[in-house]
Amino acid sequence: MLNADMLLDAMQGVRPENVHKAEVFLGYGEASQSPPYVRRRLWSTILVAAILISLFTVSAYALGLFQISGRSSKESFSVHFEEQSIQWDSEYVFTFAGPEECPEVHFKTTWAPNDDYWYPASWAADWTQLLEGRELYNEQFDIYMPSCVVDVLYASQFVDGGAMLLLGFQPEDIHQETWGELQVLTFSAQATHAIDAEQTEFPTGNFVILFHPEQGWIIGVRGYDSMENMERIARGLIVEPTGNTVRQSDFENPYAFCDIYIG
Amino acid sequence: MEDSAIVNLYWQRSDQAISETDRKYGRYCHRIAYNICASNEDAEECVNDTWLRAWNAMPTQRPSALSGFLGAITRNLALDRCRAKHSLKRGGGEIPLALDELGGCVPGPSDPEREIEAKELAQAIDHFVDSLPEADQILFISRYWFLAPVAEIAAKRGCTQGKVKVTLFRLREKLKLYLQEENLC
Repeated sequence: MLNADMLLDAMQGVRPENVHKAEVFLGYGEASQSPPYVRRRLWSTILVAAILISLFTVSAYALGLFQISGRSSKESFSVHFEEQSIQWDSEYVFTFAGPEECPEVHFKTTWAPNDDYWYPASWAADWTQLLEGRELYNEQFDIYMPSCVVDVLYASQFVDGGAMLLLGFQPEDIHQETWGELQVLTFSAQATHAIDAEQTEFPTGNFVILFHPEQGWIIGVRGYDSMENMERIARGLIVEPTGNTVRQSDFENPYAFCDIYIG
Repeated sequence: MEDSAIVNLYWQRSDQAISETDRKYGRYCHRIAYNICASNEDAEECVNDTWLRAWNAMPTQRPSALSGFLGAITRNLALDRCRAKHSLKRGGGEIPLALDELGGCVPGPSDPEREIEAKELAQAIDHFVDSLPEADQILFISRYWFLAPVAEIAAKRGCTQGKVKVTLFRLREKLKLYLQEENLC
């Protein structure tokens, strides 16, 4: 029977060249000089390391129409992950008024900018609850950036004062739309910190958040690919229930993060 | 000294092979063992045992990269030493924490009829790690191969411990999904 001990042993199967990258990163090996890729990756890591400082105020009225609320205020959140508590100081959050019990959903994509966009490709070919696009290389900044991340949240997680915390980004203009039964927020957001000592501004990330108010699921599509591609990916999603139900008790805490994953 | 020269010393059965290995990789192997054992004494014994294993393995083996070869031996020896002394769950170092974290990748009781071959699982883990973006690969291997403390990883990345924990959490969720899809749990 599979257990954590076996997983720890099975890590021995990781190919040596990948182990070597971590060895260099940690500085354990003889060759502790970071190769260029580490430098580039570090920047993409720093991208999501800071907490949002938002100077933007959303029209509560407009957002209220869609049962999604955004608020910009200094708040501190204690987020629990597997018996560990992490304190986040966030300044921008989204809340969702939806059912306490939501049908669990999974999704399929029907559109991508190119055939080799998603990895693993097998996930994109089947129903899934998480998809990531291959990284994009930004020549101007000499940096690899996550092209697109798609995953699912549920309003049942946010009852009793829970919220989706926007991390590391300052939203620009938030647009609200209706796509059939869906309430949709689209916005571009600037990372809240520079990518290097020269305080170079980081490229802008693009976010599309789909909310089904009746069923309570929330799908986030975001990344450093263009807003046009984010929207086309979002519009091409096919969503269906898995047959399971998601309740508040399924979650460790009432907070979830919305950011662009480390690349 | 170049790895190939050190390997040649092993093949020539020269005692200098051990001293050169220790000079070049002693600190590296000690660090791996210490992360697992949380004891300088145990780590030192693991490192000495590593040199013995390497001596016995060469010849006939001729590893192209000594760090990976020696690191894997040290890691195995340190895990075995922890197992021999006490349950890994009650061990020192990062082991209990890492096991707790990895326990989340095992989604409840699995089919008792399903025997998982260690080799099959190792290949699956390798495939999973290889499919990750490089930054995530490095993070995952740093934590679960090198058993590096979260604080150390955060310091190296220049980000908060919270950020590292959140990212590791997501990676474990991905691994859990992957193992399910591969019918390994």
